[in-house]
Amino acid sequence: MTESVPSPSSILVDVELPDPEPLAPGLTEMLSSLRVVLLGWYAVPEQTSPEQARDQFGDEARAALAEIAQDFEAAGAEVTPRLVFTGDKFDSLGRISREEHCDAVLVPTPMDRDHLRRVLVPLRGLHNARRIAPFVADLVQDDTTDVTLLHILEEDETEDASRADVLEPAAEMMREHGIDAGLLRLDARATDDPADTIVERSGEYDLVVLGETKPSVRSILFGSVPEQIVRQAQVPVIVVRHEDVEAEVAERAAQAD
Amino acid sequence: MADDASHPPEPATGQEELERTLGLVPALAIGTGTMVGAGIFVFPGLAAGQAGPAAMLSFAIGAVIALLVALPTSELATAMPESGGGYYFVSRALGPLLGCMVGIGQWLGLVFASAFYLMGFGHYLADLCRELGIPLPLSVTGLALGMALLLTGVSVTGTENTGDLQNWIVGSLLAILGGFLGHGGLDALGVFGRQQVPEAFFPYGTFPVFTTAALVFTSYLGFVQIATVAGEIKNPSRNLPRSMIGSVLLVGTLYVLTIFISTSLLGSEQLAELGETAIVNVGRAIVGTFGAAALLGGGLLATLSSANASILSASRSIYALSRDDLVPPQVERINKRYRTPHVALLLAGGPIIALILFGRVEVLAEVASLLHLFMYGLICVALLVLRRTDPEGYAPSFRCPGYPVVPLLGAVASFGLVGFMTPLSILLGGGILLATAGWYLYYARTVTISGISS
Repeated sequence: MTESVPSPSSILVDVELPDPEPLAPGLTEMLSSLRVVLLGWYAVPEQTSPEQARDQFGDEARAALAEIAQDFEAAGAEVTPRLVFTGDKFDSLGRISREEHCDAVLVPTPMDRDHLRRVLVPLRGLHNARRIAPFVADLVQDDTTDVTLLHILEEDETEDASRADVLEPAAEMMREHGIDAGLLRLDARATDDPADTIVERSGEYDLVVLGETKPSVRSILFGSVPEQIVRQAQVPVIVVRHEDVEAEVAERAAQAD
Repeated sequence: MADDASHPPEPATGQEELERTLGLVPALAIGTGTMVGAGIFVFPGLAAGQAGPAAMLSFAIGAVIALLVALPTSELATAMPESGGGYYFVSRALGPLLGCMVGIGQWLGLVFASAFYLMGFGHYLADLCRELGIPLPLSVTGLALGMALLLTGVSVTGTENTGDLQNWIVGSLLAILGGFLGHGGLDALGVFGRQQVPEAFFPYGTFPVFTTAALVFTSYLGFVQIATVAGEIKNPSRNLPRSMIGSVLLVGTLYVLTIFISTSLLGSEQLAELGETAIVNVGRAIVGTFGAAALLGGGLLATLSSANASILSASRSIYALSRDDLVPPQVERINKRYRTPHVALLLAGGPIIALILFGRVEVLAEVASLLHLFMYGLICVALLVLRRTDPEGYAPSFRCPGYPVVPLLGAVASFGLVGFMTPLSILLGGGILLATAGWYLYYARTVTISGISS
């Protein structure tokens, strides 16, 4: 059961074919330490059978996807390309992130930065951090990226309590997973509107990494707490998925020994 | 056993995958949406005029035949959850000649059906103008023609998915009908003290019950369209049988209730006079102007959604033929800008316009039914053949119950019902089928069709 070389965390990156929005070069570089599940989706209207679209546009779509896959491979990422002709992109995103056991999903924002140096990690609680920590550790392997843990205070929570109960233990978790202590910043804030505050703070960062609230990709992009953040943030957002049953079983096994 | 979870993924890296996006509800909406337009909103007046209150038996006969075909179709569709539906099954089981006849017949059958629905739409729009006191800008034919042009144009250029809209339309139709049938049913039974229109059950004898069944069978063409998009349905071994059988049971029940209520409240003579939009006046009789307005709106939505669904299915049928080289490959070209199969859609829309100009509602309905009944009969035969030969790769996850009685009865009833149509319809439909055979001999004689892939 134990693997000698643990496989890196995986992230789902979706691109629309045949004319994808270009990804920021810095983003490609940032993700290069992960296993990138590169989902190219070709939108098919309901009048058209996906099969029919595949017959005509398959070659063009495959070539376009291969080009993007090459960019990631050139940056050093392990790439799993998947090409789907679909009438509903969310169906495809959900299915493939399940099939590939993706740890996270990228929601890109067009921007033009060559290097991403500052990552904001809003935390809702420790449980949340447990899932995010190993992912962030895999993400920032080059040890040049600042990681800021942000905790929004609960109603009558004091800043000290937040630090003691959430931020410090979360930082400890991050260090255990190999993140350089010198790169970690802690930030506790009181606010009436958490989403708004996070969006506002994100302007000072290059990337936001946050945890999913519901176990579906559709809800990441539609109608859940991170939705507002995902939509309004000026920088790319990575949504770390809920633990699958599998991961929970593995965690329990790990705790047992 | 076909494992459902294993259907969508073909995860060989670099291979294109085709997403299945239709769940049970959208599949039911395709079947129901294609069917309710006719049975409730166009036929009650015509059917009651021909058979009297016994028209409800005609609809029941139609439902039984549709069910006898839906069961074998379900088995075949779970064995071959591919685009193309009836054409696919028949061509795989019975060879390219019959396959070609069924495939082209399905396309033209849908074209006739769509023209019929659009004529119904024209009647509803004309009625609406009358109710609102707006002078009619165009004749019924003109209105139908305008809508045909609009629908074809939108289907070529529209990139918004109307799937959710279709669900919404079918949902609100069912709500309107639920209210209408619930209240009207109690009314018809005399709960609110209304006198029923006294009438013999068979005012015109029993024979018209069968000719009427042949006429109104157009109300049962939709379930097989679910099989046409089988390749896009999630969890096909569960959702295909449920949606096909479920939609037949649902609309069959609605039809029989509608006729019962309509004939009880207004009597068949008055219904016959009211013609295509008779149901609006039944609504008025039950809850006044509000009822009339609701059913008028329902009629517009239902005929439109049926026509639209038929155009899309017709285009899918053409693609299935083209994939097997039975028609020239140009017809499956997709427009790069809109990503729609514009040639196939125009091949549906063009003939629809011609048929609307022809304009005989009953004949349009019967020819549509005839072309479908030919396919239905052969679908049943296809099941009998496949069960006997048991070819490699044939592994349906749904088994048709009552084999071989159900498919045998289904085939006999499908072919038999054609005998009750008017001579003109039989002549037209038969002529079209002969022409499709002629097309095969002229164009596609050398085509061989691959075996069953699963």
